[in-house]
Amino acid sequence: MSRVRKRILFVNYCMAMGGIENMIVDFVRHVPRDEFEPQVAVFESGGSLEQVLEAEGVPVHRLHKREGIDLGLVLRLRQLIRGQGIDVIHSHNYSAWLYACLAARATGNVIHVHTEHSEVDRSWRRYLAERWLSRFTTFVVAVSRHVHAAMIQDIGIDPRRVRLVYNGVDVSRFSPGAGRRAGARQGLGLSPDQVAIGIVARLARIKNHDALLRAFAPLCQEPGNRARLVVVGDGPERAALEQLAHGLGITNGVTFLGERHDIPELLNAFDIYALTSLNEGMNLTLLEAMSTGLPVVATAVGGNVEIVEEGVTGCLVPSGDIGALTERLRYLVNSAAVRTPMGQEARARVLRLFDQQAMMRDYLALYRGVGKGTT
Amino acid sequence: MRLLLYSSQFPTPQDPNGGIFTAQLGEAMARQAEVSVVCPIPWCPDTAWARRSQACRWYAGVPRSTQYGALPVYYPKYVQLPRISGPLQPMFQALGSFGLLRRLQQQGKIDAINAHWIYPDGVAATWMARRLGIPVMLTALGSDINVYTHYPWRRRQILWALQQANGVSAVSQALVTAIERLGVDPGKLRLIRNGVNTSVFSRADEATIRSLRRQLGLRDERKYLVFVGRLHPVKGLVHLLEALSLLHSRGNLNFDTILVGDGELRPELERTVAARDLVEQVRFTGEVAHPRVREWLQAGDAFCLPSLMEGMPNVVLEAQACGLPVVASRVGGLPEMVGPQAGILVEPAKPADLAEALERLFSKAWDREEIARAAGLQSWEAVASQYLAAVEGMSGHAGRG
Repeated sequence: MSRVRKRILFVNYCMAMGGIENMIVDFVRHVPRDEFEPQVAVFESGGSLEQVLEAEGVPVHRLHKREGIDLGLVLRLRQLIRGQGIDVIHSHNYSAWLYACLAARATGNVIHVHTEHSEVDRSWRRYLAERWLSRFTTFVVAVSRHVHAAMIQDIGIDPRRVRLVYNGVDVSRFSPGAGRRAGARQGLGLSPDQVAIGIVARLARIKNHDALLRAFAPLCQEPGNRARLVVVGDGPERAALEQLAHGLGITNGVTFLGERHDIPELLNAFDIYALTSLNEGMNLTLLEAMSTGLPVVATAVGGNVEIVEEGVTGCLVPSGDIGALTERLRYLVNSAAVRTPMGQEARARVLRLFDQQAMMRDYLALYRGVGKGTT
Repeated sequence: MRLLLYSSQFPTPQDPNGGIFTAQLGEAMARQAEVSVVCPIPWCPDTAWARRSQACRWYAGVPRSTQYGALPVYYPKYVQLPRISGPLQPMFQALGSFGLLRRLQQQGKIDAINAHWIYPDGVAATWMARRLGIPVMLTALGSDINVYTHYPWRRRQILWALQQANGVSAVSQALVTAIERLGVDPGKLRLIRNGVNTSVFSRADEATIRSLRRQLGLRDERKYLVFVGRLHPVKGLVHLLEALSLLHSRGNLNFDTILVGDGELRPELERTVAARDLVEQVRFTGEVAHPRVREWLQAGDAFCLPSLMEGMPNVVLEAQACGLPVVASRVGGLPEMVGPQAGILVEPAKPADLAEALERLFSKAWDREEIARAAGLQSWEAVASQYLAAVEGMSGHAGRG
C-alpha cells in the first residue's frame, strides 16, 4: 500500500533564532499532519530552534556543510531525499536553493518550492545561477512585490514559475488586548497619559535608530511632552545609540530595553510603532505591530511601502528626512483620535493580507502542485 | 504571444495627444510581441445636427481602423447615451466591440487581452474575454479605482471584473494598495510603473536651454514655473492661481508661471488671472503637441502639479527626466515619485501651503542631475517587457480565497 501522507522537507542553512527560521517552525506546526509529514534539513547544526523542532517530534537532519562549495552535501542531500521518500522540498534563500535543487534533480517527481526572502544580491554570477536553478524548481516564491519584480526583470526567471505570497503573522498571538496592555505598561513604568513610541529591531546600522532618536529629540524637549521612546533589541550599535541619546539630552525620554522575549505584550504597551530602517524586505515585526493594532510611522523603503498604507494604517516618511519624521511622530502623539482608527485599519489590513493562515493556504496549494506546469 | 491592447484612451487622427502614454506603451510592446489595439469610440450620427457638437465632429471622423506606427488600430463604435448610460457604459462598449474581437480571434490575432482603465474598458474587456475563452489582464491607472469605486453600480462591476480577470496591474503602489483593499488576491496583482521616452525627455545643456528660452520668449534672468496638463478642475489650478495671488500681494512673486495645455477650465482661469492682476506673471500656451512639451520642460526652472487627485502622472516623470524640481499635491502615486531631494509635497487645495512651498522651492538650489537619477526612470521598452511577462505569467497563480 502506498503512503497516504506526503513527506515534506524544509531546507535552510541553519536553525538559529531569526525571522525565516521562526517561519519554518510555524510552517512545521501548521502543515496539516494528516496530509503532510514534515522534516527539516540544516547545513549547519547547533541552532537553538533545532530543539524546538525535535520537541515537536520533527526529524532534523544535520548535513554539516563544509567550507566553500561542498559537492558531498549534494550527495548527502540526495540520499536523504531518496532514502526518506521526500515528495515536496521547500528551500529558503540562495544556498539552500542551490543544494536542494542539485540534489532534487534526477530524484523523480519531487515538487520543489523555493522562497526568496530578500532582494537578491546583485552580482551577475548570482543572477545566472538563479536563472538556471529556477528552471529546475517547480515554484519560486517572492515575499514582496519588490522581490517579485527583481526575479522577473533582473534575474529573468520565467514569470510562469514565479508566485507572490506575502509573509503572514499569527494574528491571534499578536492581537490587541486591554488586559495585556495594562500589565505591560506598568512593567515599563508608563502612566496612562503617556504616549509610548516603540521600536523592535536589532540595534544595527541598517535599522537607523539614529534618525529616530534625532527626530524624537525635539518632541522630547517640548514643554508638557508626554511622549516616551522605547527601544527593544540589542546589537552592535547599542553603545553609540545610548551615547547619542545622552548627547541629545533625551535620556529621560528614552528607554533601551535590550533583547526581550515578550514581544506580544510589549507591543500592547505601545501607542505608536516606529521603524526607520534604511532598507527592509518584509519586516515581520512591523506586521506584528500592525496586527496588535498599532499605527505605524515607517520609512518609505523596500517592503515597508507594501505594508503601510500611507495616511490610513500609518505614515510613510522618506528615509533620511528627520524633519518629516518628527512632524509625523508629533502628529500621532498629539492625536489619540487618529491613532485609534489608524490602529484598527492597520489590524484590518493585516487580517486581509498578512494573515499566517492565508499564507499557509497559498503554500499548501503549491505543495500540492496546484498550477504546476501551467502555461 | 499575440496581445490585444484594449483602451478607449488612444490617439485618433482627430486627437493625436489623447492616450499618448498608452500609445507609447503599445509601440514598445509591438517591438517585442505581436500587438494590436482596439480603441472603442462613442458612435455619433453623421448629421448636420450632431456635427454642431465638437465631440461629435471628432467621433464621427474617426476611421474604422488605421495604422499607428507598427500597431494596427481598430476603432469600433459603440452607443453612448449622454447622462443615461453612465453605469451601463461597459455593456454598450462590450456590445460594440465584441464582433470585432471575435473576428480578430478567428483570424488568429489574439491570445490574450490587456485592458487599460478598469472602468469602463476593463469591465467590458473582461466580459468579452470570458466569452472568447482567453485570459485578460486589467491595468488600473487612477480614477478607475479612486473615483468610480464610490458609485455603487460601477463599484459592483469593477469588483466583478477584478475578481474575474486573470491578472491585474497598477501603475503605483498606492493603487496596488487600494486594489488589495477591495479584496483582490495579491498574488495576481502586479505593480508596473509607467515609463518615459528618455530619448526625448532628458536634461538639456546650457546652450540648448538658452536657445530654447529665446525661442519660447522666456527672459534669461527670470525663473519659470511650468504646469503641463489638461486645464480641468481636477488639476487644482484654481488653488495654484490663489497661491500665486497670495505671493503677488506680498510682493514675493519672483517667478512666472506657464500653463501648458488646454481644456474646459481655460476661460475661467483666464478671468481669474485678469481679476488678480497676474496677466504679466501667468502665461497660457494652449494645446502643445506631446513631443514639444519637452521644450517647455527643458526651458523651465520648476514643475508644479497641484492636482486634487492623481494616479501616476507621467508628466511628472517627464519633468524629472528633464531635471526639474517638483511642487505637487500629496495625492495618489506622487509621494512615491517626489522624494525630499526631488521637490516638495503639499496638501491639495491649500493655497497658503502651496505658496509657502513655491517660495521654498525657488529659494533652494536643486541638484538637477540627482532629480533625474532619483526618479528611477525606465524606458517604455522595459515597461513593455514587464507587461508582457505579467501576461505570460498570469494564467497560473496560487489563488487565495
